[in-house]
Amino acid sequence: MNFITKKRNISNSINVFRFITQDFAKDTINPNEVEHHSNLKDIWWKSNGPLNALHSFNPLRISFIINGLLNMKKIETKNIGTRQSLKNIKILDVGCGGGVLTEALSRLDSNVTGIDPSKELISIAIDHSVILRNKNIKYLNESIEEHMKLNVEAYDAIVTSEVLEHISNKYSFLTSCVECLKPGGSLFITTPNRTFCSWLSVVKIGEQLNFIPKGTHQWEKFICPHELQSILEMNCQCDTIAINGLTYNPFTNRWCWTDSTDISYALHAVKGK
Amino acid sequence: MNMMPMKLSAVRLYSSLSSNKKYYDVIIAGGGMVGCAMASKLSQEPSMCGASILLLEGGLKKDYALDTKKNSPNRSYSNRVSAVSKSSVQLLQSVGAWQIIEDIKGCNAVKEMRIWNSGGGQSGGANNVLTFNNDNDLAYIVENDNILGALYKQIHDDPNITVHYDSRVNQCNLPETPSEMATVKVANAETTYETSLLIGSDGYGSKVRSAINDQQYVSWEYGQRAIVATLNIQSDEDDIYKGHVAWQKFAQLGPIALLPLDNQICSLVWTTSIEEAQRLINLNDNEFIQALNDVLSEEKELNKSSMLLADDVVRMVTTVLSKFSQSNNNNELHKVVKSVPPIITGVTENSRGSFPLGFGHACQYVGQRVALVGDAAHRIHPLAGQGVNLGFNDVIELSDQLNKSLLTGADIGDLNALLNYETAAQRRNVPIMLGVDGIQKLYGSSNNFIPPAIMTLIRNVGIAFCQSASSMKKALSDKASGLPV
Repeated sequence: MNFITKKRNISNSINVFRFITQDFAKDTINPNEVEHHSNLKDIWWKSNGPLNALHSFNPLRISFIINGLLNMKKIETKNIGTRQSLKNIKILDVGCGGGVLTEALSRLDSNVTGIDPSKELISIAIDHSVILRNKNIKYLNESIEEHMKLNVEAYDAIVTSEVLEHISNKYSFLTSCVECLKPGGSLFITTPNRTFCSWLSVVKIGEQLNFIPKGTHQWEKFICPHELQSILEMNCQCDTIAINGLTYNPFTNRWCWTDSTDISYALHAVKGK
Repeated sequence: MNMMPMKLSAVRLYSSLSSNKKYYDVIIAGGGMVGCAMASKLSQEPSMCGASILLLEGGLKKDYALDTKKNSPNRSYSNRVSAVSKSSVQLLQSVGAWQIIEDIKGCNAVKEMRIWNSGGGQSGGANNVLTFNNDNDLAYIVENDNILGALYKQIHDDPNITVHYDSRVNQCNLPETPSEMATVKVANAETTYETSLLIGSDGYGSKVRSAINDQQYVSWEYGQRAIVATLNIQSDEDDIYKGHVAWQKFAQLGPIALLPLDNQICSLVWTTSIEEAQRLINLNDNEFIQALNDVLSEEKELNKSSMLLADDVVRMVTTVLSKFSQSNNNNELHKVVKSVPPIITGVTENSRGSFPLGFGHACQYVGQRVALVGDAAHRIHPLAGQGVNLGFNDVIELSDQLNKSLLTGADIGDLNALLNYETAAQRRNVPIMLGVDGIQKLYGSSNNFIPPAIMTLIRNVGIAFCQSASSMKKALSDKASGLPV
């Protein structure tokens, strides 16, 4: 009972918020956030740097995406379990940054586009993509709202990994994302939860001990899985297929799945037909 | 606005491709047994489908003439052989090489291992023979040339693998960041090769190893040499394991191993001091056989009273231990342990050779876009016959980790995958290496600090203890066969 009222309250408040911000599509992007991430451009591709956690996150989020698409029967049978597993799948990576995840997706032969509001990060992503050799990758320096105008219902899957926690207007961001998705397409999101646990581990311990660059996260902007789920269900006509908990061990630099979504989680939703 | 940087990158990509650097996804430096196994194993991984592999071998192309060996009545054996463990056999099976070896009957199963010790005492060492026999075969003795021949046959049939002979790696540049490629230059050639992952399997003097940043290589020489030869032997006719027994004697100067190739022919690995090795190499064939038979049956140090005392203690311990094990070891008691060492009747002409022995271990198996396998990463004493098996295990581990990470879209040279390989390989290799080194120290050398009587006592009690403790024996032989214990 409690849960449902809470859900409703949140979606109401978000609806109010929507009226205020409707005309300012660019508002999902916060200039301070963009500037902060742009400053990380020199260390983005350094292994053993503060962004190492982002690099070691790849195996898990890629397998989450592959499994999700496999469940939706989007992967051709002959490509299952090979390096071509995402062949002929059109993916949009929203907030791709330096392209850590985008490159991994493109290595699996998907047709991937990465967009990011930071000009600096897009340029290091383009520079780095040279190592891919003949793979299909496209980077654009624009926001999802700009991208949406020309790409309505264009993608089989949309990935926004470790991005949502930096977005001010989550409602507008998510509706724009879903707008780009073909009916029946999949939306994959990973983001930290808004709990005491995540405040302590992500914001306090993680950033103090330099596992994460300082000032990367504002805890107030984090979003709980049920909030996210209700936005997706009520405003985006998306059904949530799975929510999996994630934890990170900074000492072994490994991510793993857990039952608890207290720290971070991955969510897979599918757009209604 | 957004298209400009794309074009720029395209230009850069083009310029890097058109320069005189030739790109391969993986370059393997060193085409020995481990390097070849690495190449064919990698190209068979589902994730490496379509990837290009270059194998750089320093030697010239060799004709292993696998077919002519088949069924020849007087087949000759090479003096370099390996004891291939079961996990290595699985690896060779998975790349299709083992079937070729079996077809030419190039492998001989070892069903029993008999290990004994110098100074076995008045009993002639009968009480102090440690025998291993598993229900399954313990290992297979295969000539190195057969393994290489079978692997090269598979490699030449593989369209993904390019082999360059006479190409010793001369210089390798490893990148600081994953954004760059590793480059390799070979001696006597202009071309520079560029690769996402350089695998060093170029032996214990590895050039690739020394290119790794902050590399620390722990190594020492044993001050010993190993003599190899192909021998004719005469063994007990009634032996149920005839032709399938491996013998090892821990003599005063170092272990002597006789590895069975067939009923009459054995391969010798005789570890001894450098001076003694020099002397033995220069003997004529008959003198050499005489010297070897003497060492295999010698009980020279029996005269000393302290030795006799040590022998008594060992016999007592053995009696006690055999009483203990009587209840649960009924089967083994019925078997009379044949302690009679085989008699050497001949040595194949020109089969004698020798090589130096040492210990070496690289603290870093991996670096940015580089990994070491086999002797390049670790070199051990041949007394347990584990050298090539450790190398093959590296191959299994590395290709497994690469396969896993490639399926999640990682770059071939991804450091996280390589670090996973390093952890797994070292966890397996270091205990075996230290164990072998410890046995070498205990049995192999004349130690000046501890009186010989006490050394003999420790050795013999150790052997007696192992012989009666069946569970320990099982663990040891399982460990030696390379399968998970």
